[in-house]
Amino acid sequence: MNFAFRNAWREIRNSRSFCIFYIINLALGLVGFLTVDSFKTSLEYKVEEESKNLLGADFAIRARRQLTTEETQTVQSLIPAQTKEIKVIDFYSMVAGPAGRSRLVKVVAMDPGFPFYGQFDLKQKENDRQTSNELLHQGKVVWIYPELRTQLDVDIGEMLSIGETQFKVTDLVMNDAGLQFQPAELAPKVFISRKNLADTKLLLKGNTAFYISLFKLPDSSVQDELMEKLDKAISVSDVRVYSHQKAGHRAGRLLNYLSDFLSLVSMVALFLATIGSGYLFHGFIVQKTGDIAVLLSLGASKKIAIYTYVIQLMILGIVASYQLFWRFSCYSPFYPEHCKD
Amino acid sequence: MQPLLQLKKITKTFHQGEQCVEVLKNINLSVNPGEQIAILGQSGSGKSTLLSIMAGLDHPDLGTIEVNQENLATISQNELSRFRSKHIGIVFQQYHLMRHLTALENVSIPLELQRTVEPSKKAKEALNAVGLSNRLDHFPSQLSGGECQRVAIARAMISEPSIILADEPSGNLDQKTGEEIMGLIFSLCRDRGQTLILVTHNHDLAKKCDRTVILSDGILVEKSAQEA
Repeated sequence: MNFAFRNAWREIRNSRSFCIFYIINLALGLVGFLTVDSFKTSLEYKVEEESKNLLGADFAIRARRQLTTEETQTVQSLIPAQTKEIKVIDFYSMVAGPAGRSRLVKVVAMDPGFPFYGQFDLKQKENDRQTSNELLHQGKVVWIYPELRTQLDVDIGEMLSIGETQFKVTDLVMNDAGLQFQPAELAPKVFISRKNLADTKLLLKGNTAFYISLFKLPDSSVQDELMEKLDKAISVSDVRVYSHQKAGHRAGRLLNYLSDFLSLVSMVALFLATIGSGYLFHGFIVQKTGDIAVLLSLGASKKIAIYTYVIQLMILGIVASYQLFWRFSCYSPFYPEHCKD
Repeated sequence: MQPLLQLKKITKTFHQGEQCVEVLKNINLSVNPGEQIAILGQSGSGKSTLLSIMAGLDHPDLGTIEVNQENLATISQNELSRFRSKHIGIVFQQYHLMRHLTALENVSIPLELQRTVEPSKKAKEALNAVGLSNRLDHFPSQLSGGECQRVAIARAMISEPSIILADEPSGNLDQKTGEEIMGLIFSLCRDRGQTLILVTHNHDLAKKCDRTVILSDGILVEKSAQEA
């Protein structure tokens, strides 16, 4: 075996250009697969990582109606003590700007403290966010999506009619957090305090709205077990329990299609890389067949003669893989941070 | 005198589809220590096959080969490898040097396989003996044909085998270089008392050997050098 190692090393040392060419070929074959696969992994990881921000809570219960007293009691009996709860109601409605222009929006009426995770990115950056959040709940004020400025011809400081109440536009929401149950919305959103919702008189009998209870657990380790219990306890079609992972997956549904496609692409890349590597190995072994025969004629056993070149291939493969993974982890924009760690 | 190499009733057949070609038919040959034998024959007559069988690189369908009273048919592959590295040196027409190794490294290989101490020192001496002391670190691609064959000769002789099998060693060389190479092989074998079995189709070379055998249609016919 010593001879096999020594001879393999000598061959590598004396045929540098071939070895470099071989290593580059092998590394390039694998890099395509890894790039696609790591992009997919990175995408999934990001969705997973952002899932709490997407939901704005550890878990949520969303219903097309208010929860019954029994259902509320069931939930309260199952969740751990010190679990924080926020209620949000959202629904679609027509709103009107000061010039009388109107259009469909999604009204989000929320409690103070929403969201538990993530935050609103507001246009008025000079304002302290905490203060701004509190201000939304102190008067009849509304935050709107930027596109509504032109659609409703309304600006910050002007009034917006929501139902039977006038709300003052105090800020523009550049990016909102939470409640991402679906990948797309039908209309831009406006945000008001839940305590002002009744004044709008938009939610009367027969109106459709989603009633959402958002929860922040004191200890997230109990979540999986709790989700199972809640799913069993509230098994009606118009009430759904969402963990942040589930919400993340729903919001990332389109990304999942992309992820599936990328899986296919990475499989094809792997297949091509395998064929390429196979040809490379085959070419190498064919090239060395003569040398193996010479070694046999000089008194080497078959094992040693073949091991010489297998070891050489292994060394080149290890170097190619090391180079690939090291450079890839350093330079790939898709390589997930947690994998680098 | 006990023969160094003895072939008894060697038969070898190659199969090409349904066709069978009997290359060697009931070959018998005895070679004494220190003897130089030429095997003459036309291309395709089976000379190289016979040489491969003598070296233990190929197996006969029938018959036995004894080298140093060791029956090559009865020993394992690993034992055969060890035996070959100690007792048999081979010189090929195409040199068959490892092209990624230097002359010195090529010559060292047999000693390294035998785990001899200081193989490089002995390899330098061997290369010096064939007149290549100034070409130690050259690769085969940097050597002329004659120099490559000298390296191959040094490699075949470095472990001081009792038998040198040479398969048309001057076949790829011009006449002058070929003569130099053959002169080198003959003199080295004589000086060291090694047995030489030379496969060739050159009658002049055959005349320089102690004995000549002719392989024709798979049958070995022994003749004196003058008759050949």
